[in-house]
Amino acid sequence: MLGAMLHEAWQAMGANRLRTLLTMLGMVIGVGAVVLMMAIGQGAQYAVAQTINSMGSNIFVVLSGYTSTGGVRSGGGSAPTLNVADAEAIAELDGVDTVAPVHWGSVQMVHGTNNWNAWVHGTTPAYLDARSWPLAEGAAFTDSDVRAATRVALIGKTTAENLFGEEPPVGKTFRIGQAPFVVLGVMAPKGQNLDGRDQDDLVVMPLTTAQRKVFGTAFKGSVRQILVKASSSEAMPALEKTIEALLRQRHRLREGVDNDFTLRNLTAVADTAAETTRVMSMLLGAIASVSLIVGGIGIMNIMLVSVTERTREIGIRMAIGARQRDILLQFLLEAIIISVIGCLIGLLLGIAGAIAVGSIAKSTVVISGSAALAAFGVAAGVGVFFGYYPAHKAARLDPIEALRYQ
Amino acid sequence: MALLTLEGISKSYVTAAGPFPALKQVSLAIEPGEFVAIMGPSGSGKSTFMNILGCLDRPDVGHYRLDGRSVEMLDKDALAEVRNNFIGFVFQGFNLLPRMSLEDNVALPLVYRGLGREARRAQAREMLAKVGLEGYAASLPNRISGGQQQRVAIARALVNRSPADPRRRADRQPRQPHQRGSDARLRGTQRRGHHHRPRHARGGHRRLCPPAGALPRRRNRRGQPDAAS
Repeated sequence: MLGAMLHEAWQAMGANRLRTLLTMLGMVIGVGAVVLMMAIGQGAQYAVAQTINSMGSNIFVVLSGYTSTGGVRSGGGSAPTLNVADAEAIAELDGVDTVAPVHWGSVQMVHGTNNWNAWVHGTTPAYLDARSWPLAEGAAFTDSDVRAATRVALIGKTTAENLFGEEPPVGKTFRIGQAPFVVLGVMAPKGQNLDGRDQDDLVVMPLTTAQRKVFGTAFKGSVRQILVKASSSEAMPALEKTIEALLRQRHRLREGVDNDFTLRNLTAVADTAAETTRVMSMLLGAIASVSLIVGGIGIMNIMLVSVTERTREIGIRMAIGARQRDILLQFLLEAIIISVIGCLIGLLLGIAGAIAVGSIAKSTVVISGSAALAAFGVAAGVGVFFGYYPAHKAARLDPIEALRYQ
Repeated sequence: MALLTLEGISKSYVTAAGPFPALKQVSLAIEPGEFVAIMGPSGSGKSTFMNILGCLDRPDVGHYRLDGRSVEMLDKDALAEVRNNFIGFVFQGFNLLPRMSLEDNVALPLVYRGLGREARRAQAREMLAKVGLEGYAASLPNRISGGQQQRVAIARALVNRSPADPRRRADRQPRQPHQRGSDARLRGTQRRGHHHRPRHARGGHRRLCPPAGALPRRRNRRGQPDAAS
């Protein structure tokens, strides 16, 4: 029976090819738009997730002298407000996993005929751990390098390419001013951070080397920032308060005086970014869904016309023994076939569009099976939902009235 | 026992001017194998009567027994099943479905009976052969003549007989088309026709002319004055 009905539905659709195709087009556009928008939205979410992972998880950044109070501070002679001792004190706190003081600045580097300007992060070996940053090749420097202030460095991928070109950089030397530095290793590429800056254009070296031999500072042991990795994300809110209290106490800030440092919770920033993209992709999906609903209404419209046109046929079918559900099923099947075929075409076009967007705009698109499946399910649902009323109307016709219809 | 028994059938329609009685207390019994023609002027309630007889409509009052079963209280789907199993219609204008091949047209009642594809095909082809259209199974209705269309309509009306039904043997009626009136056929065992023109009804075993009052005259069943009569 179902086979016969499918055949009949197919024939009925074939009898009005242009109309069927135009009705289908509504669904094609709707599903195509949903699939495309989902791919773009999920791509954006994926890109943000990648960036967040590259930052390392559960990270606080304490920045020194970031507030405007820096310039007017007096006494003690400590204008750069953070130092290694602060970092060591933070490391003693509960809930702290790793602490890495960082002193940074930008320097000009030379290797052979190449020269390149990059950021130098002077820090401790804990830095790589805090930022979950593996090495692509070579080995990291050690605590003894920090103690001895040896001229060694780890370089990022971008820096390596610009300074060394095709040469393998591990074991080679480059110069900063007149001082030679040995490359111990190359760090694995991380890509852009949330600001869109290239994280791989970087040189990491022992903190003491940076302080004494690269930048030179009047204030022994001062650092520009301290990276703090919490042991868990649950520990972060409490830890944020303890770090602030500790530093205020250590810096002898009286009540009412602004902090002479800035404490940033990178995870919170990342969460905001993730939430933003999530909302954006939902918004895209919602807008696309509107076109799916419009497509569904198109199906309903055409099915209503079809029922009216075929009133007499419905009467004949009823007279020769079609029950209400036979008529209902017949029209419902037509609506479902139109929406499912429209959905399949839309799916293909949406995927093709997503691939095109991915290659033209060079942005990440993610075509997930679950999204495609959801679009398919929704389309079938739209077919049933918008096909039901016309089919129900057809099934409820009075056979006598339907037979008299001209 | 009579195949059809109608007792005290009444039917009225609701119009703007109040209820309009189309049938008043009609009683009738039809035996198996009988051929009955129903005649009357326009607006006398023939169609209303035929609709009830054909299980397309239910009477307001009265009893209707078809082959021993009471059908006046059946719901729409049950009536559809009765029509599918016991009643064949040959409509005025034949009402073949224009997009379907003749074979599919004849097989359509079997679809609603839930028969498999092969069984439908076999029965439809057999029926087409019986009305002399074996070579036209794949044709569309608009490719054949009016007379042929009528024969297809008859084939469709008769195809839904169950082969196991003992009453099939009672089918000794001439099968060729014989009138243009809207007529209903009851499984080939007895036929009814209703006619505006008496000469078409001459083939009938029995003519039923409604007595005045039973089928109101000069009005169609909607209750408007009937210009034709």
